[in-house]
Amino acid sequence: MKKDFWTFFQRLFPFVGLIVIIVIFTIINQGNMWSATNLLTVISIMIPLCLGGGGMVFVAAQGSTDLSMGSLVALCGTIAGIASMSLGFWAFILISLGVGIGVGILNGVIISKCKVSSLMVTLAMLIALRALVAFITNGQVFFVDQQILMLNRMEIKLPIFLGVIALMWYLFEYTKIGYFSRCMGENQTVGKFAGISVAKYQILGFALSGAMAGMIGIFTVGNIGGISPTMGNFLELQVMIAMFVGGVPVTGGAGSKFYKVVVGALMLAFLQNGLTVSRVSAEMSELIQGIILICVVFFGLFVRQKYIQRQIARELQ
Amino acid sequence: MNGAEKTIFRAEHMKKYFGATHANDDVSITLEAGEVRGLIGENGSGKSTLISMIAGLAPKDSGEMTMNGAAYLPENPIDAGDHKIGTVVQELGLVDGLPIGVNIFLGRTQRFEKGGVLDMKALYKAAAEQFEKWNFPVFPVQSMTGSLSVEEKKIVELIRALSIGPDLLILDEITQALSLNYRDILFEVIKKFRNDGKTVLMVTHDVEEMIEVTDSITIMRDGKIVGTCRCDEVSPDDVKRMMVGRDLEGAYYRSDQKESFEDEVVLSVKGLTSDAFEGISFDLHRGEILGFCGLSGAGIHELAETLFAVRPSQAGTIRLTQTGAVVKSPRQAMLEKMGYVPKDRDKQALMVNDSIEDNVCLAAVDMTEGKLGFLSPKRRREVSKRVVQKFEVKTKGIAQVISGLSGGNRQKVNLGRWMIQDKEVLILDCPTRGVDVGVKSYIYRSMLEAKKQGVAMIVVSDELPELIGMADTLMVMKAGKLAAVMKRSEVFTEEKIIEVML
Repeated sequence: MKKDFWTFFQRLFPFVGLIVIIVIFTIINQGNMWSATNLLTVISIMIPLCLGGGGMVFVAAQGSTDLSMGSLVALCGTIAGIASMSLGFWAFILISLGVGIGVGILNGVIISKCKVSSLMVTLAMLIALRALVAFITNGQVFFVDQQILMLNRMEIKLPIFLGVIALMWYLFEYTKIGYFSRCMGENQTVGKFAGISVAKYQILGFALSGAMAGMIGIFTVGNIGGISPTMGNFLELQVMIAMFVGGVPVTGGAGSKFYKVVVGALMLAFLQNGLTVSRVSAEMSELIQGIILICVVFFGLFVRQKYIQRQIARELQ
Repeated sequence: MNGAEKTIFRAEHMKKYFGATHANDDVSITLEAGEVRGLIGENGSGKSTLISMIAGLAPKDSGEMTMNGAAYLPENPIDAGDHKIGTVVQELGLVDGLPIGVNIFLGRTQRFEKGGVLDMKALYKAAAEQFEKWNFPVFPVQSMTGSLSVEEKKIVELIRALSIGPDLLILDEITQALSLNYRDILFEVIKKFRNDGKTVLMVTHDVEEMIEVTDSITIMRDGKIVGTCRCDEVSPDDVKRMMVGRDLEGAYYRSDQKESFEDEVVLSVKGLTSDAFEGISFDLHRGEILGFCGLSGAGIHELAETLFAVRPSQAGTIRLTQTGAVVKSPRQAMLEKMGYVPKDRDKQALMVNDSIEDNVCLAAVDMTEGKLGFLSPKRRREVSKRVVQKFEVKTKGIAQVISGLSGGNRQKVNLGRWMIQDKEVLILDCPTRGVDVGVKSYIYRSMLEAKKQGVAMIVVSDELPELIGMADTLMVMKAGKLAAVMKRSEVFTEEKIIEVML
């Protein structure tokens, strides 16, 4: 099959964005960005974005939204952190993941059984879970056991992160969970008529998203060495930005690919870090991020549109 | 014909390109007042393109059109309507979230305006009057269009086209979506047009029906007009030959007049009841083609959905006799070697913005799954390529997006992805809807081949000739109940069946 420009570009698009951002900031900062310490910073910014995207992409591929992730990160970290004080390190890990998966399943069940829009349900969750965290912590900061701080060491954090991402990548690209999620995003009716149990995969999608919230909760507590009620604030939005910048379609469907999540997370991490290194103020940095997001999303849609048009035109020839 | 012949519409040297494709290559057509003209051709022969240009849906690249003696250059469908051309297009063009009445007058609501506010009461009244005027049952014009079935939506579109009081009415493959009772009303409407000295241009894939309804037929092939013939002078075979450009090989339907299947029952349905039908019982045998027919409201399509458990049943069982399993969900039905081709290809069967590969593997997912739930990309490609090759889908590759395929090729993908699996029971709801004779005969041949291999098929269809031509056993349904069961050896004729249906 002869590859034409748009077909090729459609695949290449997220990488182009990433390279442009890296090149621009390398020039602006005269290479300051490429020191070992700064690269570690980029990776630390990237890890929660990538983990969150790796879970949320299942929900996004189905055409749904999970706004509860940030609050769920805080809840997982809080409950697990408090439990670890009496139950120890492994309980910390298991409880954080358990809470994440549990709330995820709850999200999925409400959405699929009561046929409510995911936006409404997870928006309610975002508020409710944050309130629960405030109630449990009473607004206080707690400190956790030294053992948990070990999780912040890059030689431990990075392999765990890579392992989890590899697993999510496999589930999304090479199993029915990811494939059916994409099909549901394309056309839920078609999915139903072809034997997909829509409710089951909705619940699974939200459970995976929740599990990743638990994973981020583990690393966040390890990073700050304790529990803070502001953990995971606005994380869900950051993750969504990373996904969409990477080229995951806002409407979900077949255009959702796992590599786009990873590229998007890298792009956002480099962008945020680059702006910081360039000494741009925090407010200005957010403004710039917002503008870039709009451009990227618009351009991404434009490219996909061109691609589909080209596909149709080619067949008519 | 009514009085002296008078040209109402003329198109000359119409050309339209899509990329390098000549969708319409120097097409000229003249329509007289009081004429019913058929337009026929294979999928992709340029009929719909020509109609789009006349209806103002697509701009022409070159050519001249005149309507009622004046130059005609429509900017959009509303403009076409102002020139007294009403069109019912192939793809559904209604807004689901608006009431039926508003859809009928969509874009033409100014006349109901009173000081900037729409007089909804007057609009609904006018909409209901349109239904009455053409002898259609009056729809609840205030309710949402989205709640209607595909067939009812087609009627609404027809009423919309009629409501502008057209001198030229264009119908693009409308009868395919209609059941027999609505078809009869439509044919009355067409007769009325002829008597009033107005003109109808209709497209359908059903050659026999077209010869019966129209005065003359224009045949298109590869973007060109290959000829126009008067209906009283041609046979269906002549028309088919002109369409395809060669003799169609072999018989269209099966030639034997005796039912032939094994004694083994593969599927047994007992007392199946839902909100659309009740007390349906039958046995399906290995290698049997079991046809279901009925008017709209008879519940045949709902029955097909319920048999695959997409639609809930209220009572009764669907049992696969070999394993003894009772069908409870579509997924389970698939695992029990059942397959289902739904009626609405583009809304229920295929993901139109996704690749052939993704669409094939959706139905054939169990063929591609390995250990640990691994969906091997290699096996996915193999299965997809097999469907494309075996069913001769015209495409450049399996990455092709479905929306770039013609209707016939879409249906080949849709059927092929079930037929390459070793299914024991296939439920086919209108398997040849919206495909041309070439693909149609291909599908029938594939069905007979599957039958030979022992696949049992339940065929639900609005096309009686198709069921008469293919079925071993024919179940006639009426108002949700089984009205008659006929065997092939008893020779079912259209008259016999219709008598039971009504």
